[in-house]
Amino acid sequence: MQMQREQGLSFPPHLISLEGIRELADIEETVDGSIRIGALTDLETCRNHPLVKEKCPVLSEAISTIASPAVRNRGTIGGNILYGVGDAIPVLLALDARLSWFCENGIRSEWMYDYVSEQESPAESAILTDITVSSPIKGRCFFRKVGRREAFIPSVVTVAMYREMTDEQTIKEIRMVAGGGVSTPRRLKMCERELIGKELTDDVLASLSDSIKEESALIGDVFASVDYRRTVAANLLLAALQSDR
Amino acid sequence: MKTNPEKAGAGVIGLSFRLNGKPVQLTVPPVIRAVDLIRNELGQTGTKISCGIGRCGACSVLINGKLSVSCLTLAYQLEGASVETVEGLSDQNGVHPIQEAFLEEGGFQCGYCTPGMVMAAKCLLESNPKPSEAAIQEAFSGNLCRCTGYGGIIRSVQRACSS
Amino acid sequence: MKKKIRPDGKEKVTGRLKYLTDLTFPEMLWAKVLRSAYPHARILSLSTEKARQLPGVQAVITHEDVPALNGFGIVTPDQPVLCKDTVRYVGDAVAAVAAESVEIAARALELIEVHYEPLPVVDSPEKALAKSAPLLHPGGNILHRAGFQRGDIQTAFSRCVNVVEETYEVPRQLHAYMETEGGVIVPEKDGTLTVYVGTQHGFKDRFQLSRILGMPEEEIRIISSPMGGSFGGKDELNIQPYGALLALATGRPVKIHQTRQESMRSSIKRHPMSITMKTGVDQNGRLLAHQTTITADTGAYATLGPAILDFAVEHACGPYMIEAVDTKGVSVFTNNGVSGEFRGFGGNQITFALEGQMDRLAAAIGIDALELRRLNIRREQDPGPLGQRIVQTNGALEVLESAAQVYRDKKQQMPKASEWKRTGIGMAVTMHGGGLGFGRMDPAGGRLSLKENGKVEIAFGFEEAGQGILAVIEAVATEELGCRKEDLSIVIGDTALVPSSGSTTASRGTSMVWHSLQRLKGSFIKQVLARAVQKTGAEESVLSIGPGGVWKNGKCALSFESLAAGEEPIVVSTQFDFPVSPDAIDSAHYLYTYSGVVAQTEVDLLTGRIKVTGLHQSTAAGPVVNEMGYRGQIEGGGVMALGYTLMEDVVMTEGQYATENFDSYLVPGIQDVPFDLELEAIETLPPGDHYGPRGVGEIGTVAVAPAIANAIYDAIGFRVSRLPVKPEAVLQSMERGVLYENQS
Repeated sequence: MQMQREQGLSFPPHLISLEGIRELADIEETVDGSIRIGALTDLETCRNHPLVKEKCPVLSEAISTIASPAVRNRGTIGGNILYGVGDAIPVLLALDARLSWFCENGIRSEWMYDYVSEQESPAESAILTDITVSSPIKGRCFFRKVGRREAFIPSVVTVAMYREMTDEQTIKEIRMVAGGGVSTPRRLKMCERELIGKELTDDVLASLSDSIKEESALIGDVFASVDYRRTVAANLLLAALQSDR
Repeated sequence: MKTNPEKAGAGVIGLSFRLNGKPVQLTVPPVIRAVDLIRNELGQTGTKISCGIGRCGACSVLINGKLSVSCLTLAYQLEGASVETVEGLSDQNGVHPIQEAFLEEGGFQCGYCTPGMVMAAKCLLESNPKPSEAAIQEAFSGNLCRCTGYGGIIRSVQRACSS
Repeated sequence: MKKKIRPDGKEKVTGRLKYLTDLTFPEMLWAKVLRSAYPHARILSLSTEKARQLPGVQAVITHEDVPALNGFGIVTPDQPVLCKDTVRYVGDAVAAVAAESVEIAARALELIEVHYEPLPVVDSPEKALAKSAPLLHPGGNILHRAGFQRGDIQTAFSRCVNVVEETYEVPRQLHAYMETEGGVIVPEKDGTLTVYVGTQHGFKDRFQLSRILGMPEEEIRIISSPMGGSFGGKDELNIQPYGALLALATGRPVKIHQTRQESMRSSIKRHPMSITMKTGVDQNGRLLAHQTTITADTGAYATLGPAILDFAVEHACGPYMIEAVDTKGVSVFTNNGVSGEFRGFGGNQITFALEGQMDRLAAAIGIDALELRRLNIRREQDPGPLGQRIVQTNGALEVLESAAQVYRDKKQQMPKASEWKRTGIGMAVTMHGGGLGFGRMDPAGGRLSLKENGKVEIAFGFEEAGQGILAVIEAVATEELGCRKEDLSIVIGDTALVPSSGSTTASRGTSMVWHSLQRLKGSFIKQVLARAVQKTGAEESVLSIGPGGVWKNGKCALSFESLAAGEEPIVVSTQFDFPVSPDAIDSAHYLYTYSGVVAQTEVDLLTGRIKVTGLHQSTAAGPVVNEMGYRGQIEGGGVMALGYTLMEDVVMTEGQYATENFDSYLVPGIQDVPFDLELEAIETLPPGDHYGPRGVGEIGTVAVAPAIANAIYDAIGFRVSRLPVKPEAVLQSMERGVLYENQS
């Protein structure tokens, strides 16, 4: 909001601070072993939290690519999600996280996937209270963010992936996500469906490249074109899959 | 700048926090930037302003011990907090060992990013007295310097942790 | 080498130093400047009525309020202080407001009603040079043409066995000094004006302001140091005229401190250039013919555009001896911002092209790029690039051999590439002129005094922008006089207190301080010792200046305090010109520095991103005055150039800035830089050289881009011809199958 003010937009007339509600800013293990992260947990706390580091290191890795320590100390995980294109989103989508909202009629929970694909967006007055990631994580996780500088940089392309293999080396479960720039990160559902049950042969990977480019719907700007973003998303996801073989 | 309440937000609030260990009480609009409050209301100009959008680190201060960009922090968020700025590191008699290291290794030239760099160094070395290369790079990733090319800053941090 | 803590260091690391934008004064007002909404438009009407009525507004000014010359510009005052009928870029000022708070001033700007008739936007030199182009200035769209010819270029090309031609494009770079433009302008009770605003040349600002305000120069005092960075960007006037006009209008101190967005919009930038080079060699690798055409986008106004083009033309064949040379340059007005002075001054652009040519030629004729350079590089006694006599050193060959050694060593220890990475190494060399050049007024000077309080005062009209001129003055003065730093009082940056020394620019500060001391010290020491003789009765031959005062028999016999007590101050002044070539060739330089750069890169094959993993700079610039300052200039310059190569670009679309702040305009962060930056200072000068240490403010920025570009080629076989290097272009080149194996 302060950034928008700097660009000449004015503040809303009233602001309500939720910073006093401590329950919104902690991280805990739930009874079923999942990790529940309060939406007002600042990003740096979240990144360094022992539970996150131990049970979900890929989230910690993803958060460390967001802005800088001094900004992560101010910004919250909830804020990053509500921003719509935050760099925590792809990894949370890949981990199939759930969001809880405080609404007029109580607490409502939904899949991160549903929220992001705007199939069931919560009412405007709803407040995001926490994010839950199932644990233990059985498969392998992958995350990579590419910007125009090594660090402290908005994303040009961000990809994340979760995959589980069968004993026969075929894909059992996979979630692939691509985002970057002003593009809302999204699951590559068609690519995922193509891969389920398949072995990662050269042929499979070769046809996957075009599918990723096609489905990843990234948007270009004066700094990086659509083609570039889609190509990089495909390259990174393919390279990660290749390293699994 | 004497901030104009009508323009900065609705009304004013009473605010109390600690600045470099000393209690501060003042009445300000709740949504002025912490950096303006520190520089203009309290006259502590060691904290600098350069980009205004959290993209350079010149305004870095410690809020409750955490490195924070004061241009993206609003006045009301300081309520009850303990704020430390570069002015809190030294007194008239001497300089902090980190500042000494910056002096001896040429960790600055124009000096405008230096207060933010010094605060980032303090934050790093308090939690990690022997940082690796990667830890140093990570700790300063939000602080831009246009003069030194960072070589002098890296050497300063290395000297500070070896002394 | 001497390692000394800077005189301004303690104040800087403690945050106690007051920059001019940190100052406040009683009754101070805040001001803001209304900039044009369009890159090119006619102003149909301008009404400030509503803004004036806003409570808290104390003054609103427009072109009608400029008492004398409504224009500024270091050489040609063609930029309106406040536009009357035409705006030529989005940074053009239309009005300015002083108010009780910065918020009120900002609100008042919104209430100023300007009606524009948009005009066609000339957003490239091509458009500006088209026959049908609208004329941006009465004299047309060409600011300046420059050229240099030697030999018969066509005949020379006909004798070449190989000719390489390429067009190089370089971007608009932002100085990105961390402290944006600003300060306070104070109207004094006696009717004079004190201007606390950073600049690289206080006396020039005084002259320009006097011309605008219609006030005698003596009534304007400029306090201009310290600055939070400048790099050439604060040499031209920026907000001074608005602050001054508003201070005079209101009778109150007026502060302006531009936001980063305001700074981006109104500040000068490095000239984007398109450079076509055609270069040919004979079968032995001798350069025979070199043809260059330069088109520079100078933006809306002149400032130092002509001199920058001249500099690029002069350096088009760099440190190489080439039989036939044909260089033509044109600097063109557009509606794209304003291009002006920037560290390197046209040298960076031209060197990127020239050193790109050298590697391409070497590949074309199948010899080592190093060997090609060695074959053609200038030797001691060779004339300068324009055929002029220059101060001879062996710097060119020395930096080449130093870089060659580093190149060979590093090549042998290249890190192994991983699956999706390729590594490469490249080099480049350059020479760079210091001072303003032949035919340009380039006076320098200084003053040395023994004050009544016993301080040895040394005063210069130079400015401290961070480069460390204070440390240089301290080091040179203590060395030359033999006193301690505690004995000194260094005075700079205040037109009321210092002599004119010319501009703090063109790598001339260090050099001119040293030259001044050579001129001042004899007479000063003589007068000090004469007084000591008077006071002690000792023979002059046994006395000398030492730490704390005058020494005799290894002891301090008389302190400076006792020498000064009750006496008139001893004052010695000097005025002289920066040394120039005896050959009357316009803009030709006389003193040069040399640089050889080796860069190592790592290319990510999946993303096309480049990381610079090593940067080694060998510099020949005479003796090092202050090791820390020297190292800082070379390393910092190198990283600024790394940014220029890989990420920095002020993108404009149809005359509007697409990059407005540090979220989209990127300067290198700590992770973009090799952890260990390396340098070698070559300090040797030929016997009898009496020009002393040369400045190194610019040389560290000049040859880095081509070295990185050549390292990228080494890694993946992609020839870079456009900066900044786009990862997209890297990926595309590999898709085209350019990728080759260099890991054999």
